[in-house]
Amino acid sequence: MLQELGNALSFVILAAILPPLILFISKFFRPSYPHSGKLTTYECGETPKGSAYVQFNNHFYLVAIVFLVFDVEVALLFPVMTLFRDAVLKGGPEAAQVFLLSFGFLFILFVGLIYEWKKGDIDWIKVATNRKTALESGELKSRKIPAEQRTV
Amino acid sequence: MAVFSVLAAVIIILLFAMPVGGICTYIERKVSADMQERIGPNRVGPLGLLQFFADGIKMFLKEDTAPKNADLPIYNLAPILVMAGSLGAFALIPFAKYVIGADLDIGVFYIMALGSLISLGILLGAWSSDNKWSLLGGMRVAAQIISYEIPLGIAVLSIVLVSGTLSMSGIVEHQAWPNGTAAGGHFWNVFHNPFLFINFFIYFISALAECNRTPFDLPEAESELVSGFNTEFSGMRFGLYALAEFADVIMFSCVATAIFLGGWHLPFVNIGELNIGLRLGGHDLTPLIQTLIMIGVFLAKVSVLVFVVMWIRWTLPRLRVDQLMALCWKYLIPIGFVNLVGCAVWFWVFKGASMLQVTSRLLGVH
Repeated sequence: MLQELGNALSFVILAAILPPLILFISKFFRPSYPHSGKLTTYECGETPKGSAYVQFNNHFYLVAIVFLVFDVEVALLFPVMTLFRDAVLKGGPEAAQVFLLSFGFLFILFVGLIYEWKKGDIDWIKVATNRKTALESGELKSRKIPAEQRTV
Repeated sequence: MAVFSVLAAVIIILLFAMPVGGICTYIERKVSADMQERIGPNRVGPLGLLQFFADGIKMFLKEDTAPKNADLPIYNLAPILVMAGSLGAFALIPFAKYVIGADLDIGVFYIMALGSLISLGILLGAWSSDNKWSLLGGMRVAAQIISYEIPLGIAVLSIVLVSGTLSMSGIVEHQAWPNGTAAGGHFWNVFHNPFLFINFFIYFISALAECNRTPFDLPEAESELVSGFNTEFSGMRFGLYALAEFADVIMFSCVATAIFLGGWHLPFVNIGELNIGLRLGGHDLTPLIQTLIMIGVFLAKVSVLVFVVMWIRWTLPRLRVDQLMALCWKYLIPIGFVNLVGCAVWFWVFKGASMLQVTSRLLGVH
């Protein structure tokens, strides 16, 4: 087993030393004439304005947290699922145990997903998708976005 | 043995993954040209076959510039992580019965873990290059890859449930043609039960999103984000990203072949039991020829999948970000969960028999 892990590690190490090696070798062949224009940030030909670390949608953070919960869940279920085949083929109560354990766990998280869905956190654009049609149908009173809907 | 492992790594990565990744760029250009009624590359070598080689040399000789404000340590680390993630996973691909770099007991799990290195590498590269386009592309790629990792994981989980093992070669062994002998299995996992059939498509869609291929190429949407996360990467660094993308496509196709499409197994025949009876100098050549046939079958399946990926790229338009998220969280994940439960119920009710075995039992054929 340790031998197999060593094999896998040798692949990762080889793949990791390959890019620096290629870049190092190409150093002897490629030109290098840096000047200030070449080294500026690319902003479609304009002089770059301000820092590149602009504010972005808070939603990315929320997605990352939800992902963390689900991914840990999937990772936890992997070892449990390997038991299922043997338990079923052997017969007896273990299959029911594995089934209830894993899918009870899955169900609780699925309720969480439904809560998230109902709360609108999965929708990337929360409310203001159809503002124009909503305005025309009279559903929306004014053109101004109410404070609680300004999430985009 | 240590020498052998390094040798296997060198052979598979340098002689398989990288040239095939390069050839894929040529094939992709040819396929796209055919679909748009153009000629495509035809100048370098016969039929333009050496185009990928010329592209490689061109990138190799291009100047390598990094923006002045870039966070250089992270900027240099990013392509390395991407390459390590996409090429390192080739260790676990079972090309034939004993042709596998490292037959880990945690095979599938390891591949998924290395797969997340790619998203980390792309995000770091985007963040460190001090460019607004890169940052937006990086944020999108992070959200996209981590979201689609969940349906991918669920689809793989249903395979683990049916196979009862995480080892790649173990999963392939179970997919032999059920011919009544000890070597027989339950045929390809994709035809094991209706739920796994649907899960194959969930896996395929998620893998497309994981590789940032069209229709999920939002991170590098050239019409809105210039070039997305690799805007500031030039020369060979950009080449590494492009190569890693194709290596990724091949890797996911290999995994799909191994876990869903039966690896090296064919219908109606069990290659491991074929008797060729060819001898050379007193040595029985049967195992060698069997292995070669297995590798051929495996690679044929992989190339069909890679072709489908290219076909999709030149057929479908790009999704919007909200559609992308809705497809993942509102469709793929709930359907995946239901399929996982359905798969477990099928396995329990029919005691692990596949659709094929159940039908043949009903018809009384063995």
